[in-house]
Order: sequence, then C-alpha cells, then structure tokens
Amino acid sequence: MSRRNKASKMGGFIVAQSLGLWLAFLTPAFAGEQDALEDILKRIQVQETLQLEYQETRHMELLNRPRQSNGQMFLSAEKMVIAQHSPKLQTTVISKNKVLHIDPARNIRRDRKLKKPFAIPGMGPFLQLFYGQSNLAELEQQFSLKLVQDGSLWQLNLFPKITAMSRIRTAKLSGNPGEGPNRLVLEFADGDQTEWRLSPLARGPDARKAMDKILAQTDRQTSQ
Amino acid sequence: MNRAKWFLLLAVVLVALTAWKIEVHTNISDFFFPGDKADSRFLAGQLQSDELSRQYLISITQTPPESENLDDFVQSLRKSLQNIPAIKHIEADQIDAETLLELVAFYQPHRIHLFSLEPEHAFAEMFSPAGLANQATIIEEALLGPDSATVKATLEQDPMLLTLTWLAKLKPFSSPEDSQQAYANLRINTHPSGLDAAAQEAFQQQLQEVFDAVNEKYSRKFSLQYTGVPVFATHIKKQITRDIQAISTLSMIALSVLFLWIFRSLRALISTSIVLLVAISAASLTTQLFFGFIHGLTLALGITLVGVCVDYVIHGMVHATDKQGAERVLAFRRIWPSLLLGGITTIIGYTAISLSGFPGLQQIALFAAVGIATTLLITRYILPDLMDLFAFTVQPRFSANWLLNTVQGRGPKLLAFGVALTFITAGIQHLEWGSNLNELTPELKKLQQQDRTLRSRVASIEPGRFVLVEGDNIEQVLQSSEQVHAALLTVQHKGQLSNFYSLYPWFGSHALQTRNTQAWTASLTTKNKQRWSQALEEQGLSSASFPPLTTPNAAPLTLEKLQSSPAWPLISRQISENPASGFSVAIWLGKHSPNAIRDALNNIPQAHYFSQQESINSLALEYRQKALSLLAWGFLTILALLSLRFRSIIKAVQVLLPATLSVLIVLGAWGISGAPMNMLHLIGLLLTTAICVDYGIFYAENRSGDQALTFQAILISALTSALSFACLGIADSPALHALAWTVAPGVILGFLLCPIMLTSDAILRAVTDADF
Repeated sequence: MSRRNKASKMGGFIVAQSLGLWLAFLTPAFAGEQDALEDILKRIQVQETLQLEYQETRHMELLNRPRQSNGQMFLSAEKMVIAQHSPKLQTTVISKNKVLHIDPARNIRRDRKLKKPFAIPGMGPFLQLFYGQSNLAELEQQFSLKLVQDGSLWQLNLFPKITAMSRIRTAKLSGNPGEGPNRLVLEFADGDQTEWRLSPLARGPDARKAMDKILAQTDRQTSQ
Repeated sequence: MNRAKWFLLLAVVLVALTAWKIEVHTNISDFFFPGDKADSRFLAGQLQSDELSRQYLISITQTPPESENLDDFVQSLRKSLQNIPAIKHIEADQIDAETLLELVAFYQPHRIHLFSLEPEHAFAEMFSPAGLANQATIIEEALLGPDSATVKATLEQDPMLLTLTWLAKLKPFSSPEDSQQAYANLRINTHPSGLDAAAQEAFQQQLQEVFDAVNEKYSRKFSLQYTGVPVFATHIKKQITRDIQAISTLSMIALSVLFLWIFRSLRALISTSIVLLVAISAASLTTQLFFGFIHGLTLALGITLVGVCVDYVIHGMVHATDKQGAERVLAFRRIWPSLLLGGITTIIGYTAISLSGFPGLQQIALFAAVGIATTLLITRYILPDLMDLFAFTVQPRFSANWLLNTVQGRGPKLLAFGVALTFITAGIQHLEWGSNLNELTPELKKLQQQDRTLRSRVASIEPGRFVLVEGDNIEQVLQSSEQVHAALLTVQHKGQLSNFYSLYPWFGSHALQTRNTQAWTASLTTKNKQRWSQALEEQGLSSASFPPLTTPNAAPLTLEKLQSSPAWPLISRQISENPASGFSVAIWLGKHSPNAIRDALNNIPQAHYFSQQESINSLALEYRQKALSLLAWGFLTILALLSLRFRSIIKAVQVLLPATLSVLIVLGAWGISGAPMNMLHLIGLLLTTAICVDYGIFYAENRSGDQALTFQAILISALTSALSFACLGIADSPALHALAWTVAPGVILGFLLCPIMLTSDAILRAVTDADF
C-alpha cells in the first residue's frame, strides 16, 4: 500500500467520521425542533378555559389610520368569546358550527351557521390551531410551518397551501418560552395586517365563571 | 245466445275495463276547492308547484337542550340523508354563510336596481351630508367586523357598499327568541310529487329509518317531527283508502247477509250483485272518461249507490218472482213506470247536489246518474232473462202484512203528523250550523296542530293568512306588489302589523329597477362625488383607495334570471304562475290586525287579504246556503215532476208526504241532539227525499195490484238502503258520518210513513199505463 493511498484512505475515514458526527449532532437537533413544535402546538390548543385581555390593531389600505380595539377574549373547550370593550361594546361567540355576533347598542343579535367547523374568514388559521389540528402531519397538509426560537421568544409562522386561504399571506403566533401565544399576527395578500396582543388574566374555573358572566350580561342586554 | 248471456259477457268486459282504466285520486283539495276563485287558484297552483308540494319542514328537537350537540347531530343527519335517492335537496331554515355569500355575489350587480321603492327620495337622502356620513360609518364597521374579507372584495365593485344596504333589508324569518332554541329545522324537497302518496309514504319511512340510525349514535337524545303537503296527502290517502275498504267490505257482507236472510237464494244474490257491479263499473268508467280521474271520496259515496240501486232490482224481482217467460217480462213492464219515475226523482236529487259548487259532488252526481240509469235499464230489459237463466225465485222470508194493517188508519196518520210537528218544533230552535269546514276532517287536527307548531319555529309569520296580488303578467303583479309593500309599511308604522315579507327587495318590477338606475345616475354629480370622498376621509377611510362611483352595466333583474339564482329557493313559494290566469304573488304577514290590512288594500284592486280559515269558512257557508236552496229546488222539481205525472198537485203532495215528514223528523232530531249540522247533512236530507219519494211512488202506484207485495218490496228496499248508508258510519271521515246518520234513519221513516200517509187507490186512479 502506498503512502498516498494510505493517506487517502485515512482522509476518507475522517470525512466519513466527520459526516457521521455531523449527522449524529444534527439528528437530535432536528428531533428537538419537531418536539418543540409539537410542544408549542399542544400549548396553543385549548385545554382549559382561558381568560385573556386583548388589544387588536388593524392596518388596512382602505383606512387612513390604524384601528385599535380592546377587550377580553375567552377560550373554552367548546367556544371562543371575544368581548370587545372599546371602541364600543360588542360580543362575538364562535363555536364549532356557528358564529354569533351581538351588538347591544344597536340591538343586533345575528347568528350564522358555518359550513365548515371554525371557518371564520381571517381567523380560520388560529381557530384551527386552538380547536382543530394537534396532529402535525394534518396541519402540514394545509400550512407550511416554520418555527423560530431564540432564548426569549418562540414564533410559529404558518403559510397557507390551499387556495381558500390565499387571501392570507402569513399567520404568525409568538410567545414567551414555555408559554402559550401572546401575539397573533395575520398578514393578508393585499398588504393589510391584523395584530392581537394577548395577556392572560385567569384560567380554569375562574375564567369559565367570568366567561359565563359576560355571556349572561350580553343576553340580558339584547333581550331588553 | 239470449240477452242474459250477452249481458254476462259484457259484464266481464266492463268490469275488466274498469279495473284497467280507472285512476283513483285522493287529493282532498280537488274535492273541496272550486277552481273559479283567485285564492283557490293560488292554493291549487302552489300545491301543484314543485317547491311547496314536495317540501317537508323537518324539526329536530333535543332533550335536554345542548346546542353544540344539536348542530353536530344535524350535520350528521344531513350527511346521511344525502343517501336517500328521493331527496332533491336539503336546506337549513336559516341562510348559511355560503348561501349568504352567493346572494351577495348575485345581487351585487343589481344593488342599484333594487336599492329602494322610492329611489329619488332614497338617493337624495343618501347623498346628503348625513347620509354620506352614515354610509361611510357602515363601511368602516363592516370593514372592521367579522366579515372583513368579504367586505373588502365587495368594495372593489361596490364602493358605497350598497349590496350590504340591500342585504340589511332582508328580514330574517326566524324569531329573535329562537336564537337560544333547542331545535333545528331543515327543509327537504323530494323528487316525487307531494301528492304521490305512495312514494311519499315510502320516503317518510326512509326518513324515519335514517333519523333513527343517526339518533342511535347520539344516545337517542333527539326527536323528529315533520310537516308539509306530502304529510297531509299521505294521511288523507290512508284515511280514504281505509274508509273505502272498510265501507265496501262491511256493506258487501252486511247486504249479502241481509239479502240471503230475506230471500234464501244464493242465485238471486249473485244475479243482483252482477247487476250492481255492472252499474258501478259503468258509473266509474263514465266518471273516469268525463273527469280524467275518479276521486276516492266519489267511490266511497258511490258505494252507497248500491243501496239505492238495489231497490229497483229487488222491487222487480219481488214482483216477478212467481212468473215465467213472457209473464215475467210483463210484470217488469207493469212496474216500469214506477221504477222510471223513482229513478228520475233520485237522479234529480243527485244532480241537484252537483250544483252546490262542491267539485267532488259533481263527480258523485255523474256517477250516481249513470249508475241509476244503468240499473234501471238492466232491471227493465235484462233482469227478466237473467232470472230465467239462473232459474231462481225469490220468496221473502217475512211478510209485512201485519205492519201494513197496523199502521193504516186515521190514528197513525195523526200520530205521524204529531211526531213530525213535535220534532221539528222542538228541534228547529236548537239547529246549529257548523261553519268550519275543518270539522269535516278532525283526523287532520293533530297534524294541523303539529304543522302550526313547526311553522311557528321557522317563521314569525301567521300561517294561512297573507296578501294575494294578482296580475296578467309579472310586471303588472310586481308593480301592484310594490304598491302593497308601501301600504303595508304604513300599517306597520301604526303598530298594526309586526312584520311582512314581500318580494321586494328580492325582486322588483322593471319600472322600479329603471327608476332606481335613473335616480342613481342623476345623483352622480361632481359635487356629490367630492362630498363622498370627504365623508370617507372624515370617517378615517382612505378615499383614494376606493374605486370611483359609476353606474353599473348590468341589465335589470328578470324573472328568468331570478329563477336560476340562489335566491329562488328562498322566495319561490311566494310566486305562482298559472298559464290561464297569469301570476299571483303572496306577501306573508306577521302578527296583524285583519281589518287594518283590508283597509290598507282598499285602493289596490289587484290585491286582497286572504285568510285560509275565513276563506274555508265562507266557502262552507256558501256551500251550505247553496245546499239549502238546492234542497228546496230539488224538492220543487220532484213535486213538479210528480204533479205532471199524476196530473194533480194535491196527489203529488200526497206522494211526497212520507219523504217530507221523514226529512222534518230527521232535521228535528238533529236539532234536539245539539250536534252541529253542515252541508253534508243537507245533502243527506236531499238524498233521503229522493229515495223516499221512490217508496211513495212505488206504494201509491202499486202497479202489481198487490199492496202487500209492493209494501214487502219497499220494506226490503228500505232495509238494504238503510243498511248500506249506515255502513258509512264506520268511516273515519265525519263527512260520511253525516250522510250515514241522516239517510239511514230517514229512509226507514220514509218507508214506515208510506202506508200511514198514502192511500194507493186514490192516486192510482189518476195514472194510466199509457202515461209512460
């Protein structure tokens, strides 16, 4: 065996070993990312009733200035309640097959059945995460997912694959490590954008009680 | 081959032809509603239309109420129902999101055409500073609302969002209190006609099976109720079929047993049955040929004809029983004038009832006339040969001599007058006329109650009460409807009408659409456009991002286009087209004051207020009044005929006395009983008169010369007639009860009164055989 051949063989071994090491290093990282994604999806999905304070900011081409609204958001196993306080009192109750919009000032109580579960235009991707897909494979059939994490924040970006959602360019959810999302952003294909900032107020039975109280109040207001 | 054999051959052919050709209908509206009124035409048109007659309203109730599960259940049920081939389509009672989007897309090009009923005023108001600010507010709220994506897309074509203004004009049918409902409703249209009772019955069974299967998966938490024209149609068909089968079976058995008991001759029974079968077949075939169908109730009432026709056969057989060949023929010839006169008076009775306006009774009159005429002719020309062929004699089991001897004389006559006077005096004050035609169908009351309950769940309208607008063409009827809409708005503002649902804003006349376009175009001045931009900016909207205001290019909306639109299933029930009479449009009403609506429509001749209940009641009153006058006319016609026959009005009155007293006693008895009478009782009285007059004629003329034999023949005839009418008493239909308990006692009384009131010799002297 010549020296050159020996050196060559040694080089090949080193490359193979390096590749092996690199692969060995990468595999857990990839597996870790997968775990992290599933962990985040699990955290996003509604497990118990949550009471959140929200602030919504909308940027639209048709508006000459952004619009802000705020209020409380409740996420329970069977429904989502958005109780807007400002600029005016309004309540929206979204359940699997129905959306109910209540405007007490104008005595409007309008409910509408949904053709597909949680198919609310503009909120569909988030509602699917909250109530629908916990299964990553299923979710990936509809969205391309990208999880970005640094030490202080996680951010999950969803890019719709199906045409029905082509009005939406990106849906972004972000939050602190180990917590659920505290910011939701929808970017539309026409350049419009809607952002929700969320801060938790209560969870479990307390949150449930607060939600029921809000719903009862709304019922009273519209039945008067 | 002699006449009898030819007759038997003909009988086989006729019965086979009848079984092959006749088509029995059970649609009750054919029987009750005349075709000469607008309301009836609208109802008939609606019943025949695809949309209403094939539609079921289905309500699913959950116990205890948990709305989430209910929605899931309804979705599963809808999915499973898709597998039933008879279903044409299923729709929810509320407009779903998808249909709403389809409606917005369809009406967006017509937003200007259908903007307002007073476009000049409406556009002027909208382009005022306040109107423009309001419109800008609507746009901002819509943009920031839950349907932002749809609003943005709509604004690209419709910068003032007038489609949303149009959409806001649609009134939801659901009552506000229903939003927390523990039930869900579906409308199902079937491929088979709603009046095809057999197909609908099969469908209802499938529907129940599918429902049960889905319900099983949800621990049987749900219950199913449904209503609609097909439900009533199948129920009525079942009832009529049940009645026909029960009456025909019972009357056949009862009459056969009576006949065999009296005559003890099977051959006589067979001969009589053949004669009657041929008469009924001839009557059925003629009715089929004349009307194109035969109604189930005609058949049910037609069966009573057996009881009438059998009188002629029995009368003939009894008089010819101890004779043979030429003598027998002579015996038949001798009694023929009495039979003919009796037959004619009965036909007069049946014909008179056909003039009452009751469409079903016109069939019955023809059926009866042909049946009676056929029986008379067979009795006269075939029966003697038939008796020879079958070689039988009839010897009645009993003689009525004792009765004849008992009731003759002055005492019984005075007693009869006294009884009749007492009954009529006591009863006349308590006679009660029922004005509600629905009482004739109490079996349907439960269904009607369910229908009201279910319909109240889907619509805040009063079922069965609406405004009907008519016109020769669609443009005319739409213009009138728009006038009615304006008039009803005034009533609503006065608080006398909670809500109403007209065709506008779904559709408008061509004239209105043109006016809207002209008013819009006239509003698009430079000044107005500047004010609009300013209003948008003041509302915080970016005017530069909005498309400019222009006149849309779309042609006005036409009926043809509407019929193929997503709106058509929602409004088609309100439009009815009849090639002969033009178009009808119904405007549904919420809670209202009928008088206020009637007053509001005074100046619109093409429109009138329709109340199904009031209409049916007035129809019942009209029928009753007609039946009353027909009873009088029928009576007078028979009197005239008898006067002509006996050449003496007094003798004619004498012959009529048994029938008259019988009718008075029955009428008085109904009054004393307190049970309300209706038009069918009057028809029953007319039939009683016609039948009893036969007995009077037979008894008075006594053509055989043997009074006891004649009386015996009448007795047997009366028993068979009374029995066949009494068999109607087992029917479910109260209409048939009325006939049963009027005619059966009337016939028996009429028979009993013959020897009491009549002295045959006095009358017979006035008649000679040559008269006929």
